[in-house]
Amino acid sequence: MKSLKKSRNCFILCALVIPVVLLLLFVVYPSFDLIAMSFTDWDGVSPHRQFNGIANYITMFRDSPDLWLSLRNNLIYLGVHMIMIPIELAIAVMLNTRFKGANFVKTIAFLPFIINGVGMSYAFSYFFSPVNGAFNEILTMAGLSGSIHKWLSDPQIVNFVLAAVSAWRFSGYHIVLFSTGLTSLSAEMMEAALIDGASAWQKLWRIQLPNIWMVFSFVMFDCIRGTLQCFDIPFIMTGGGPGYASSTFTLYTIDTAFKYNSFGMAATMAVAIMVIVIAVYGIQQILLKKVIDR
Amino acid sequence: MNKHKYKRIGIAALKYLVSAVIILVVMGPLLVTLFTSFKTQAQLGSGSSILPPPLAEITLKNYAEVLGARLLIPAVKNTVIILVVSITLNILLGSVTAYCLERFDFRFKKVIMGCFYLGMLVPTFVVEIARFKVIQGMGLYNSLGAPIIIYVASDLMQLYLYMQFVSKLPRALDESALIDGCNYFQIFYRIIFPLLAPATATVVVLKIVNIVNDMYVPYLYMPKTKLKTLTTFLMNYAGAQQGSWPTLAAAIVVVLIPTVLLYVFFHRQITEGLSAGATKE
Amino acid sequence: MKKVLALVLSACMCAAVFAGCGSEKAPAADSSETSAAEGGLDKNIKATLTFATWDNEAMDVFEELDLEGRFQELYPNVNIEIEEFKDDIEYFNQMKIRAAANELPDIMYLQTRFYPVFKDYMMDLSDTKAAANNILAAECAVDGRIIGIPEKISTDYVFYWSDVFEEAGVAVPHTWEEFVTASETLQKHYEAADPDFMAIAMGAKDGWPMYPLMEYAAASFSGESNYWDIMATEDEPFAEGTEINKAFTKVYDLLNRGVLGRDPLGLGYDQALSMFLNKKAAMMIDNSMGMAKIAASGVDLSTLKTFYTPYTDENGQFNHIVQGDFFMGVTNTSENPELAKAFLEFYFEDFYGDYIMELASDSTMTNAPKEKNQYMAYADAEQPEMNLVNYMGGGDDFTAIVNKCKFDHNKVGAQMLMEGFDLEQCFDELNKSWSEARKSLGME
Repeated sequence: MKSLKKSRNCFILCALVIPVVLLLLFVVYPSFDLIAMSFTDWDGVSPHRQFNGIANYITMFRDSPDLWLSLRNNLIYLGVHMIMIPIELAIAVMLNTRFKGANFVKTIAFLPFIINGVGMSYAFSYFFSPVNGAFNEILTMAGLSGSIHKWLSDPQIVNFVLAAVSAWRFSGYHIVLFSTGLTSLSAEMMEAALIDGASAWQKLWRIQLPNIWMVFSFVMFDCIRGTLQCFDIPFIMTGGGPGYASSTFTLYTIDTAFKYNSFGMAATMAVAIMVIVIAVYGIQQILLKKVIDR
Repeated sequence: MNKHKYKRIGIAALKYLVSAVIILVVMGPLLVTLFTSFKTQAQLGSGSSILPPPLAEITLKNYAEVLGARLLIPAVKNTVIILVVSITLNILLGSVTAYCLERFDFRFKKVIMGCFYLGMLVPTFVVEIARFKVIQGMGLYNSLGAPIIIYVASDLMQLYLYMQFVSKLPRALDESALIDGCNYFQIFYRIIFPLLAPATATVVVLKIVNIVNDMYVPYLYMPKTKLKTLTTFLMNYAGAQQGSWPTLAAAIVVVLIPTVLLYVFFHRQITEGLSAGATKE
Repeated sequence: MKKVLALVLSACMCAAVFAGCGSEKAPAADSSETSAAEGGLDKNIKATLTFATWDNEAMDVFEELDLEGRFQELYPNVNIEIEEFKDDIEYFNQMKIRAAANELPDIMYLQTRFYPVFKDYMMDLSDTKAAANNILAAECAVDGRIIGIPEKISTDYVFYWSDVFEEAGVAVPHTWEEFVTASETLQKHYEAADPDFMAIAMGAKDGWPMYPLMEYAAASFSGESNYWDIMATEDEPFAEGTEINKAFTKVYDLLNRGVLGRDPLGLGYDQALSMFLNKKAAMMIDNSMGMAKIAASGVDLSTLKTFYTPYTDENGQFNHIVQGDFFMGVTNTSENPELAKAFLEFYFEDFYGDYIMELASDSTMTNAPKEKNQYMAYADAEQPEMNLVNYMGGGDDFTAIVNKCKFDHNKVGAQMLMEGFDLEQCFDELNKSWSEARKSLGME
């Protein structure tokens, strides 16, 4: 038995040595460096860093209104994705009723997740252009020219447009996740749920949702992490503008670091967003658990 | 009876309506991009922006420019090398790590797990300076090794997926194999790893998506012109100071083709494998 | 200083007249001998020089003119590895990371606004022939060291369609007030028929295209080339009566008249450019790199003309900003600094003459005279007399304050275009954050 334990330990050691070394080099060391940096006024270029205590944290909380405006924008993305979750779930339920063409629809819906997001973000910035923009042309064709807005330059609207692009990219992914989660339950139950009306919703609520709890929690985590750290869509489509109207927390952090050479300050913000992600996810998990338990 | 029939037709109609909307929403922007890639800059201002250009006015000039670009071939080559090497390493290391973490108890397990979760939460961009020093210290700067090792070391979703799968495999498998005289390496290699095939398929797909779409790592760590990848190649056409929408559209289409083709041929495996990872009863 | 610059520039313009014969460039053979000899370098040295740029068009020219091959005629075993970047913003972001990690390329381009960040990483090029032959290099020395040799002249032109002007009955403006009126007349004349029309195509969504108005306005109107540095000494630089207050007020007045069209913040630079090319915009403010793009677009340019943005001050003096761009420098972290210097000498001595002919920019080298681009020459004809302002960007103190209070002139410009913008309030806020920044930096 002893030799078995020995061989087991040997296996674990061999298996984990490379991943752990990589982990130390690329996750642990940079994270500690980040935290250490957050207590300095380092400009990113000069060879030495000056320790300045919690000054960055104070500045962040007291004198950075644009940062918190940016965080509010992240919450808009999060909100839009949260609203999309029931819709995604409903579509998944619908696609699982196995009508003719359902698989085709699923295939198409998943497409945006597969393709190059950077390229599509560029494409969308032309799509919503005020001049010769495809979206405005569609509205005009549908007789809705009255609802044309300044999609990318009105501070009241721009974040919702960007969040919609984000939803366009990731909803199909979530639909497919939900769909397969539901497939693992019996197909008849699903049919019955859809046809029986009101009581079906109860079934959905009582039987199906708790059963796809793992999927649910995964999608939630994906949404929270993705939206709170979101930056490529606004970076490409608006550059965070006009002003800071469509900036996000990460975008603002990057600006702080690279444009204004305040790496210390940026590190502080990065620590903050990590804490926020963990906190939001934690709260959501607790709330969801309560709901499901009931 | 009749009522029931109408209800069924009604529901069917609703399903197809919703399906049509989904297809339109997804395909609309893609088609607009495709059509634009066949237009000239001048046509942009004059014609409709959602319809394809008239057959007689179709131009292939944009594609000629993109496909004729001297960097396209190296970009494809670099992308393929990065994909193959980093995904292979990802699968090997990811599966074995997940197996260890899920199956065994050992010292520092909690610490290691915590670090892996940390890896999922750290915003990559700001830790870039520390990471840069590591890459430089390893002598990998400005080589394909840089993105490969970063893709292996960070973004740890493969671990999450494999752990889900391993936890579903009955422990009896390992035990009976042990009794048969296999050592742990053999158990993993002969029994566990083959059973993880669906997860492996998923990891392959998700990693391809992430890596092909990532712009920053290759951009930051391989500035050498000869080391362009498909995405950094694409970004050249989107330079803030020299953009031309039709050429950019052509470049986008060219870059989309490989992933879309992959998807068209393997979509069933992809979607099924993908969701299998997130499902656990 | 300004006069010297003006003289040199006009000398260049004169030289351009003779450029017909100028095509027989300086004898390449003996100059290469000298540059090779000077470095005291082994001709057979084996090395790779890395060279980073964000000018994608120049990349193609380097390829066409075989930059590497020509340098290998002098140093056969030296490879030139070019690293190209999407745009200047990305370029400088990356260079900051690389500076911290000691991974700068051997040869890199700079802009004067980034001198405070990178100056400690650059070699002094004062003793090079290239610096001596450059008309701007000495002007732009920092702490007495020449750390970069500009290869382009960045100066802004208002590109316009003369037929579009004529139809609206608008003449080329020669004062700021005329410019405002002309813009407004054009906008009113065309927007009834075409609601998308823009008197000035700007591309404000991208932010940076606002620089001709936002970055240059204060220096232009006041004629103070180092206006940013003056601001760095003031506690409330945006207070009423200050030059930047006046300049921003004038710019805001222009923007407020709707001359950038109905949704200026919704369009990026390339969209604005394409509008201009389709004559859906009457004017576009851009530099020689813009000229290159206009020329490459293939549209009919028979009515394309230019004038200089009329930044006239109260006395009617016409100020115009001239700035060196793409300052080529050698980093002191380079493994082969002497070789890099030799490359720089070769570049400006043997290569530059052919290279600059392929670009729209004017030449910065006395040894490579070049005729002014035919379209950009219109501006000189319109305004033969100007007070040239050699703009440098801000120095250390200015940069430190800006980094602290996050003052971004282009963002202010974008805000001016937003509904409900209050200029007075904006100045108050800028003053407040400025003085706080100075306080925390101990500059009081």
